[in-house]
Amino acid sequence: MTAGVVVVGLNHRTAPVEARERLAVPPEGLEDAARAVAALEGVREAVVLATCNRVELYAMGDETGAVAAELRRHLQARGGAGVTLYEHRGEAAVRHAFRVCASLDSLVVGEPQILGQVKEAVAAARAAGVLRGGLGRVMARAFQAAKRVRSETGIAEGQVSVASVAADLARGIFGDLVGRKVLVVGAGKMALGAARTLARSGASLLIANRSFERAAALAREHGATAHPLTDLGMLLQHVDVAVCSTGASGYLLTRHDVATAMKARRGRGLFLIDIAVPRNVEPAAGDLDSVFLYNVDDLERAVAEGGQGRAVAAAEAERVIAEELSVFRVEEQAQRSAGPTIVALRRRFQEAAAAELERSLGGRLRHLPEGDRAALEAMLDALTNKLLHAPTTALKEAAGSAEGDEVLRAARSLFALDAGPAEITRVRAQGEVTPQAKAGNGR
Amino acid sequence: MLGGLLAAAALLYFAAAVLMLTHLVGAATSLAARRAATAGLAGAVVAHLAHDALRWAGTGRGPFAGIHEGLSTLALLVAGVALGLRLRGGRLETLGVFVAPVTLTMLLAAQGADARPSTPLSGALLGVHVGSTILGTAAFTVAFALAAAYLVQEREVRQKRLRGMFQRLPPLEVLDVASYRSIALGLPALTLGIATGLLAGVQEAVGRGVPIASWRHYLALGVWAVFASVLVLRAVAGWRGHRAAIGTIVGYASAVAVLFGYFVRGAGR
Repeated sequence: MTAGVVVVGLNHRTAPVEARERLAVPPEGLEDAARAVAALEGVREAVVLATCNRVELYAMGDETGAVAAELRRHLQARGGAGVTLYEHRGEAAVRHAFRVCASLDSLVVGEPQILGQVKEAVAAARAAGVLRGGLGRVMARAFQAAKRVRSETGIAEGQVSVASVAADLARGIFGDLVGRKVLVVGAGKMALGAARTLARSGASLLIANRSFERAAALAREHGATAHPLTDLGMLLQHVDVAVCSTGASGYLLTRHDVATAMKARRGRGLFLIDIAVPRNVEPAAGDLDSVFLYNVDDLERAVAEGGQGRAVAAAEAERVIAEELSVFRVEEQAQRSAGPTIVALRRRFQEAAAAELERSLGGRLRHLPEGDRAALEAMLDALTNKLLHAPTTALKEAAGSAEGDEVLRAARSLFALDAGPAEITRVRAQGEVTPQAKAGNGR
Repeated sequence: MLGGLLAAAALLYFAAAVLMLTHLVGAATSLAARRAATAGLAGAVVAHLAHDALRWAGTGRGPFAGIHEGLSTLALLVAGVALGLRLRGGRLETLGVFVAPVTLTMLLAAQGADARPSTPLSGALLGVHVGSTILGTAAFTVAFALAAAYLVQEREVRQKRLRGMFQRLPPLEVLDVASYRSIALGLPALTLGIATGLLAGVQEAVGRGVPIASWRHYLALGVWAVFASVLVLRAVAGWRGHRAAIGTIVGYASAVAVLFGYFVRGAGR
């Protein structure tokens, strides 16, 4: 199964924020984006992961080379022309997914946000109906690997976060933060996290959002004051720090806007934190006197520099990933070897149930109205599934173990799954004769 | 004895400057380097103080007796402020890096200065003239160090280097406000120094029939105007941060030019 997995994308290492923001996908657009990828030729399943640091297309298909080429074309057509894209296929792609989820591929190794972001991407792909078996299993196992990495290694300990770096910077600019005003523009989790850290140092919070109701709700939750986004220009004249994280596709604050605010501020320093991708603040605003502008790359680079001591934990995490990969490999192998037996067993049960149903509805139960017939059919389906659940699970488990072959052979023999057409006819005939004979006896 | 103390003070100032610089720009914070720098600065201040005290006792000329004594007193005052900041701890201690080379230069320059009084002023008025000029210049030296530290720290923030120097230098706004306060403190003192200097000019002009103001007075007025502009523009046009720091450094450079004038032209006009 892993053979068909492909990932093509770009991240903080291969592309600057200017390139990443052209390919950014807002959370509400993930479903459509996954659908669009799944519609590409040769793609059976798809997941689109789009965060501040990466845009990656995961896909499953038979011809991985062709699928990778399709994914590349898709990204390039959407604004990725001229951008260096990386690509992994087969087990390398699965390993990449594991490392991404475990935040080993993050700029800030050990950061906790990425797992949630991948889960959202997977949920969107499921909702879009483009994530089913193979790729779904890869992602489920990647989540499991990530959880193990977090619980078994020290990767998340002493975590230097974007929020703490932003607070350090604010202190480096303003000194004491008591009485300072911090404006959060948008409702991003990271922005609110940074603002809360600043608030803990004594700063007061202001929240501006396109939806005033949302701003008001967040303000109640965080002990802040709420403002409509239309007040942004005025607010900028009074606050000391502004953290922007809206989903706006263009610049929310141009150099001119900031310059106008700076005139009214009479030269008081302004710290702008732009953690949105696409960016909310025109980069040229950072050249203005007493304006200090940091974007997501700047902050995360600073965070990464602060976390170099976690190299040992990262090495342990790589070992966990390697273990999880080999477990996954065995499972997939088992899935492959148990698969035909399970399919044959299911088919056998379903065929027997269907034959019995047809015979009964054509015979003693022919008086049943349409609704009752459907109910009977549904009941038989449920019964089949219930009866098959335990043997299916047992077969899957056994396939990965030492006695796997024996169990599979026993199952095929017990249910005559290897029987040729003649034998099957004989078995069917026996099955059909017996009830008739019973009925005859009963008369 | 005096020569030995002077040499010891100069060497210790130099060593302290190097150690403080190493501590400021070093990749890792070394507690030993920090302590050695403070000890070096403390030793320099003690040797300097002992030198000036012995000289006073020997010549009978006090700390504000003339340009020679005044410059040495100025250097001692500024070094004392830097030492106080280091002993207090906190990020402002790094100002010593910017102050120590200036102090060393002043101390050495003082040796070249004419030991005779440079103005016809005498007694209390001479003391007020030299004392207030020195206090003003000391405040401007501190303002200069703060402005220089501001520019270095601003560069660190703009270039997104958040380790090392960024963590050792004081916050930008602290530097900006402290520099402003130093100028606000130094300007009235310099005003008094210039006024008494002009008074000396008037006395001399009346006595010898020469122009009231010399080129030094004009330069001193220029220094006064630069620092006054830094304060006025801050209040009126919101010139803070980078611009204020540049203005302070320009003002200080012109103050140094005035002092330099004493050596080029001696104590005369």
